[in-house]
Amino acid sequence: MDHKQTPSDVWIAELRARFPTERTVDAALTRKLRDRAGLAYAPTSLARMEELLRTFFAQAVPGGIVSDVRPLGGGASKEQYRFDVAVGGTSQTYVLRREPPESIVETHRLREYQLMRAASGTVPVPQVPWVDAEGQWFGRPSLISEFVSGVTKPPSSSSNVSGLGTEFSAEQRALLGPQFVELLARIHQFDWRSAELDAFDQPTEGTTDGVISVINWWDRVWEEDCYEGVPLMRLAAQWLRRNAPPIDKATVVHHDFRAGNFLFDPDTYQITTVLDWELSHIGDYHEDLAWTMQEGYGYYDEAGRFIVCGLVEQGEFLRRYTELTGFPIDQRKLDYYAIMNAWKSTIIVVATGIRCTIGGKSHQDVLLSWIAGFGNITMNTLETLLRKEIAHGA
Amino acid sequence: MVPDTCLRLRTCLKALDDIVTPALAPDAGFAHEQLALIKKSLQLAIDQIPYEYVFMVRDAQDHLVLARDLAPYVESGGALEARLAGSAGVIAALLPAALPDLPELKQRLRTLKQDVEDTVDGLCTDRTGTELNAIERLVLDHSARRIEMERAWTIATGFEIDPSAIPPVVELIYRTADTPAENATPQTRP
Repeated sequence: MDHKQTPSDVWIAELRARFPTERTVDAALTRKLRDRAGLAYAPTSLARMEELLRTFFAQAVPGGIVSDVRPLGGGASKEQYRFDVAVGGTSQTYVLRREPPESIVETHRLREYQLMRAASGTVPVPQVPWVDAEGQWFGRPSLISEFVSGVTKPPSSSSNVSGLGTEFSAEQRALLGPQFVELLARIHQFDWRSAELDAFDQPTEGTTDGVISVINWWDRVWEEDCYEGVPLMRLAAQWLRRNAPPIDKATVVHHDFRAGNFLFDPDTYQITTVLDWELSHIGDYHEDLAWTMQEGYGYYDEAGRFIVCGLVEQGEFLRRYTELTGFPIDQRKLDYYAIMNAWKSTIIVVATGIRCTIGGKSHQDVLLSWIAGFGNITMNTLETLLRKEIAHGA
Repeated sequence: MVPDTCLRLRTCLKALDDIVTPALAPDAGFAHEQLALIKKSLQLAIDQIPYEYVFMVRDAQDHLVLARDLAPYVESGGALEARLAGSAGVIAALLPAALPDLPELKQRLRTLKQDVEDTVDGLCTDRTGTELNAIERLVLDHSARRIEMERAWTIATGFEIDPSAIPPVVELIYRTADTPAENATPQTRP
């Protein structure tokens, strides 16, 4: 019997007490557990989606006419529909992102909504006019953004699922690479303290509070979702706690800045928008740098140089980033966050992804069972990096 | 091993039900017939996989019994007697001592894995210095072996940068160099 499929109130309370983390992260994870024993995912007909959208827009945009509702491919974590709303002869295309009953990452729509609105003007992001944070209108929490055109990979490129392993030619890299680094620099330079981000807890600079909060977040997810024990994951969690570095400068951390999570114009190779802000938080910029530099997102060229996300040579990536931000790069912190990120990536695909499929909870269960193979790559990275650190006495 | 093959196939069935079936034109009769057979075949595989090995063992046992019962009727010293004795002997040597209960093994293995994980968690919390270092190395060495096996098992998912660096899974499964002693049981510190 798998008690995790029918979480008791006692177990939920115990997890919340054992792993204190941000308020809205706790809210999203607690909701997931409370709903887990409920129904599996079942597709909503387009007619029903159109009905839901019409009901919503009757109050959001009186006189607006909803039409052309279509499902969008991609989106490993959230269901996506594009649709048009016409008002007085002008039509605008939008995208609805709706949570499935459980997702490969369980996040709070209010966080995504607030950060995308705040980042608008700093980096290209879709405008986000509406959020249904509690699922009042769409049955499950949802977000509505403007539709932005563009592609995630070159038309001729091959890649695995979710944009992993996307290939870019030298010419494409020359066009996209500099923009890619500049956008990450701008995200980290963004003055988040002046923005409306009350869904986020602020870490105290000069302390490890924010880092421990992130470890608790993901340690809790592992505990909630893993199907079977993996000793390496506990070893890693304990090592991360013992070696947590203080956050010297708190910035926005996008948390999934990589190829596959931005759109570009396939003719001009101009990046048109940065996507997938749902895991964003306030933390250490080294966490983002190490995430983007993960081995699984890039490749080694003929000269043995690592090409970050298939776009920029690693040395150039860090040099350009430092030029743009003026932020120092602390190699010890990069090494630390490389371990943390390999650990988190493993939790996402091996624990949560599989937990979704056990309950039949997502619109992408078949993709989630496929992408679990990537967890073996991230776990290998985790083992290799931890071994190196432990050999050096950390 | 997560996901196991049955769970993987269940996700395929669900995708066919949720996404593919509604997308087929209602008048695509042949496609609907094929889809129905594909779904039934997948369900059959899901039902059979947990028992396929023991089904074969049972098959072998039944044929051994028949071979034994037929033996008195076979001409002594003939070619058939030698063939029958030879192949029966080989099969008898390959068979496990008892019919394994694979679903039970799967469930118990899961419990053991959780107990090992909790043990590592506890030891890493309250041990320090050389003792902690020794525990860490044990876990890392174990992990390296398991990860290599899992990577080989799922190599067809296409995430390996250099697939040729991973040995075939069959080679790893039957590799004897690091096969643990049978019935190894933990001896705790007094």
